[in-house]
Amino acid sequence: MEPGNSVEEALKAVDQGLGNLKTSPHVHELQHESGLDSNGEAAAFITVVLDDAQDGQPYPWTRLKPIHDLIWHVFTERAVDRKPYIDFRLVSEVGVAVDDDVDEGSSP
Amino acid sequence: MISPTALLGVAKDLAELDRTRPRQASLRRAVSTAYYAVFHLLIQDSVRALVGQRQEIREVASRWFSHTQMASACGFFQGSKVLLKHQPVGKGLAGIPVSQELQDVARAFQTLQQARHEADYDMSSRRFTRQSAQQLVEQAEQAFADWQTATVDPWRPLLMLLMLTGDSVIKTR
Repeated sequence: MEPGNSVEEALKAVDQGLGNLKTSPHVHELQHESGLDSNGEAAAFITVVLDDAQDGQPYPWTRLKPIHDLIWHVFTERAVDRKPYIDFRLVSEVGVAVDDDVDEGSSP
Repeated sequence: MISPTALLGVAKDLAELDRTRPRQASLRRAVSTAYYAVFHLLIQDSVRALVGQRQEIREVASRWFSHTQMASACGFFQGSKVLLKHQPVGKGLAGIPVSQELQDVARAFQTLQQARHEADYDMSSRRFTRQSAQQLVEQAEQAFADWQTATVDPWRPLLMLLMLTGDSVIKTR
């Protein structure tokens, strides 16, 4: 049977492949949302939620790239008709209010 | 002309500001600047290769590149096989894979362009975090290195050309 080419099926395959990545941080969850990118092309916006590092610092790209490459590999191999856009977040950053630099207003 | 390397340095500085409580303004400017670093790197190297060393001509030609056409051209080089308008390229080239480095540059460009769009225009939904901003800045930094490594990739000049012309020049027969 041909492997499924939906985003959901592709992400299931990604999830199964994550166990083979020995140097990457642990993936807590894969989230996705379908939409259009800024050029109007079909896109899958994927958020990779990572367990926080013990030192509280962001993970370097060198440790995230294997996850990024795995997602691209699965999407390309399965000819998923949506381009993956991959965003990495820490568990501690999900759902946390971020300072929005709100202006106080400019009235005199 | 603007220095892509200097832009990348500014992006890294911005991503490091306010380490404990980064401001959205800093993170968004970091992401946007990282995109423009790669944008100008690709344009400057492309005009140098396509129109030569004369600075006045390079400056004019630099303005002919568009964000949309560059993203579209990068879309052709994101896998190991090049498909132009869904058709394999000429028989003799079909067996030549795109190097991993050139694929990574093409992917990074589109990723950064999308992130830059959200950083500059989408003030409502996406919130940038230190992790996401640092990831994008480091991805841009890696794209600089990959672009140099890909100098030997025979597909690189075609990517440069298509970034300038767009895909309307492609004939599928």
